[in-house]
Amino acid sequence: MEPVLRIDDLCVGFHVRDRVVNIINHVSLHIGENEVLGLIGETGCGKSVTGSAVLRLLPDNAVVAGQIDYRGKALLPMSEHEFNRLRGAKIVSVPQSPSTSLNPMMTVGMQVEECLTRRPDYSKKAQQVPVRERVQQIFERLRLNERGKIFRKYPCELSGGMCQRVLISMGAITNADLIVVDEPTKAVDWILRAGVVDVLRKMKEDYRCAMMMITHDIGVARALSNRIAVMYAGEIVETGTAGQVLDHPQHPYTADLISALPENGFHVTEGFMPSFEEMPAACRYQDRCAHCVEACRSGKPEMHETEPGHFVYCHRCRGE
Amino acid sequence: MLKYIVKRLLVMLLVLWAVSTMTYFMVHVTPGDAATAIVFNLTGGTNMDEELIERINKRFDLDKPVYVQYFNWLLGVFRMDFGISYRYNMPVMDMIKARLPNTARLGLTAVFLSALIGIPLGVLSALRQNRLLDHTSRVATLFIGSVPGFLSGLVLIIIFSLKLKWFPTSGMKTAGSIVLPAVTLALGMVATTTRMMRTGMLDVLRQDFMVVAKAKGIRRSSMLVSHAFRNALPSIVTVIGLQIGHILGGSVLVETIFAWPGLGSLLNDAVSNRDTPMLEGCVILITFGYTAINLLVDVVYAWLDPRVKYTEG
Amino acid sequence: MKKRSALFHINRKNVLLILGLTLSALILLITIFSPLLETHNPTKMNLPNKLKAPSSENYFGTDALGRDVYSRILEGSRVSLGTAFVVVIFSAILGTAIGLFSGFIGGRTDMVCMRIVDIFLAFPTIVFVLAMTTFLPTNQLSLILAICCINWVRYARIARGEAVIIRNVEYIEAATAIGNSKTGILFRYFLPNTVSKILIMMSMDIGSIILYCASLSFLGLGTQPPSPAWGTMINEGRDYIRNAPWISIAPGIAVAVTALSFNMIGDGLRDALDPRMRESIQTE
Repeated sequence: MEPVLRIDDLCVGFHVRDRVVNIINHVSLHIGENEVLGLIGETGCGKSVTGSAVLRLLPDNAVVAGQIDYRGKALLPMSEHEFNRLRGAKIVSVPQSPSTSLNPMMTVGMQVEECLTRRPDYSKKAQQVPVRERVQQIFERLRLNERGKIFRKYPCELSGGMCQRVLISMGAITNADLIVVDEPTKAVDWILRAGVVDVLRKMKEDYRCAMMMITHDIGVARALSNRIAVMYAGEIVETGTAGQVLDHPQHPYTADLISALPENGFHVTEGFMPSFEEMPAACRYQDRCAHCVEACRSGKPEMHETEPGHFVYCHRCRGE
Repeated sequence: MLKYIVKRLLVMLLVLWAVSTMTYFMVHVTPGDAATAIVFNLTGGTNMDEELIERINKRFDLDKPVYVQYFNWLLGVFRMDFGISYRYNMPVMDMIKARLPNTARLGLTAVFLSALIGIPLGVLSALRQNRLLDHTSRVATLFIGSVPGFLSGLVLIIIFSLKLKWFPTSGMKTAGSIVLPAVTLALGMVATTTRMMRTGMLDVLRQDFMVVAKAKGIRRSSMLVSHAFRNALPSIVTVIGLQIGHILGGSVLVETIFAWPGLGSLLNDAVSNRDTPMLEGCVILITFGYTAINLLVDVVYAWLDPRVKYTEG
Repeated sequence: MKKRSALFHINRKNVLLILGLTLSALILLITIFSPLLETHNPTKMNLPNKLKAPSSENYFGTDALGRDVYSRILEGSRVSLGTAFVVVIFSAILGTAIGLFSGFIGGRTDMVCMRIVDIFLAFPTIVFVLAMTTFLPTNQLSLILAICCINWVRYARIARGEAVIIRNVEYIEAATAIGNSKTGILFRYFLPNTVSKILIMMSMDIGSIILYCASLSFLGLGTQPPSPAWGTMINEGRDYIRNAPWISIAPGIAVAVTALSFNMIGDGLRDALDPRMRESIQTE
């Protein structure tokens, strides 16, 4: 069956001063029908850039190569006009940072409503249920409603958690096939994290959509993802089901990531992710990896399938 | 919101009191001069009779202690009574009332002209940042903004009054008389207007919610109006407020050049003639107007921004 | 300082700044060497020669008293530019001092100072200066004094803002905790930042002060005739605008060009250091 989203050999760079800095390096992913793919990795590894590339929302100085297919249709060569029919309708985004992603001078209700009403292809007559009612229903479902009053409130009058739920409503109202969720718990207090996860789980069950769940929070990824892709320094290093990747990590980075969790002993890895302007050739994890060998510095790691559906990009896994 | 307004009103009252007091003491530093000035104006400087000066001192309480004079004067200000003009021998307030509408008309026309050009130009420059329109408008407004008001006024007179004879050189006699002075005033402001509008718009355009709006796939017109422009509205209000401030100062020059019978030329006359009450009246009223308009602008700005309106403010 | 140099890239975007600097330097040189460049005595009357159009003898023609306009403009440049520089420097020093003081002290004093600033800000500049001149003698020094008295506020505001930041910023404590001395941080980070903001303000201010001075001398303040201040010259030429426009236009253009070149510096500096102009890289 055709995957909802297929990313093939995606490369993204940015024009900085007089050169092009490579960020995303030959990334390949796919997301199937109703599947949630968790894209995890530390801050700055390029996850959000990947999400923006799918949504074609990269800044003007970006250079993109490779292929992104939505249900078999190539997205990158599409005209802006054609892509706009997909974006915001079939492929939607739940952005990060609720405090800055909402228009401070528009009511939250309007901001959700306009996801439908202000699109060029909107037709009032074609609506079975008035849009306003739909908005209220979604607010209700996401426990965001004080007797219908939230609609007319401005973002500054709501808490961070409520704003996050408004953002999620914007993703839910469109009945999209693919939702790119960007760091849903980053701006939310630890205590409220579970609430956001709950809301997202509900949405997944109610709307049966595919999701790209971009997050650095492994707990969130585990709770919501069917499959997980691990990203480091702009490259995918490991993909597999949630259970496979998180319980039997094969790539040294993934293993380090998991053992660095507080509940696993807080074994923090040495060093920092290298700057994109000074990326080492061959394996990008070589300077921090405890298992680094000669081959790691000379040749790009290839993909190995260690168990059915579980793929790793590492020299060490050859043949094991 | 209400709290905000009340707080600002109180500050404004304080400022007004301080402004009046400062003006009073600036102008009255040498009280002896007042009587001399009056006699000078009355007799044309030919008959500076000592006794006459004495009588005038008594008549206008000019020999009373400073604080008494000040207090009486302050009461007068409260009642909007600034005394009698030394030069015209008429109540100051009457003359000001006669001239105020003229300045207001001139000023509003100039603001309208400047906004008409500056706001769209600024918005377009921001939307087409760093392209031809942007660079051209920035260079053009830089040049125009460096030309002093009196020069542009004189040049306009030469071209449109003397050579082309489209408009009169001065005065307020015909309907077209307002054109040249208003254009001169507007030219001085259009540079700042455009630049501030551009900056305000650029600030809005690079915000996250603009990208989110694009992600929602809404119509470009909705994006520009409901998202970009709506958030740039406070900038527009600030810009207009600034312009009005500029007018109050610039009108002194422009009205003098074009012999426009307004408050500005009245003030200038008062300075030349050492007409103290008139000077006080003009300075205080112009400053009051400036303060009041600034307050109005701030209130409108706050009202437009829900973040101020719905929180404590 | 590493931070500063990273902010400043000389490229096509800085054309304005470089042009402004060149032009201003040229004008400054002309001003300094004006006695050598004058062709006639600027104050010497020559009635038979009056109201002559520009020619090879008198580059910008002569005025109603037969004086050479070109030489008068050169003579006036010293007054005009000198005044502008003095005003800007003094008001900057005064304003910065008061602002820093107010910001550092904080509390009641700060509030009172800021209220005073608000009061001064309530006056339109020209109106304030006109009011002040009623009790000052009519000479250039009074003009300088009067403008300084109202112009200091814009520097006070900036300086006070910086001082408040310095007072409140949290990472001073953090940096102190890891060993940097408080004065070290002060001198290495904040003072340069404050100084650069004040300098930018000054560069933007010179242009407007030149315009204000010209406007005020046009209205009859400051140095009196026969001293050739540009504004005064323009005023004197008003009566002859019909048949001898050069008397007003020539000094007017001098004012405009001078103001323009300094405004270019101000604008150029502001653009060069404006973070919005730089390209942004997003890596998340």
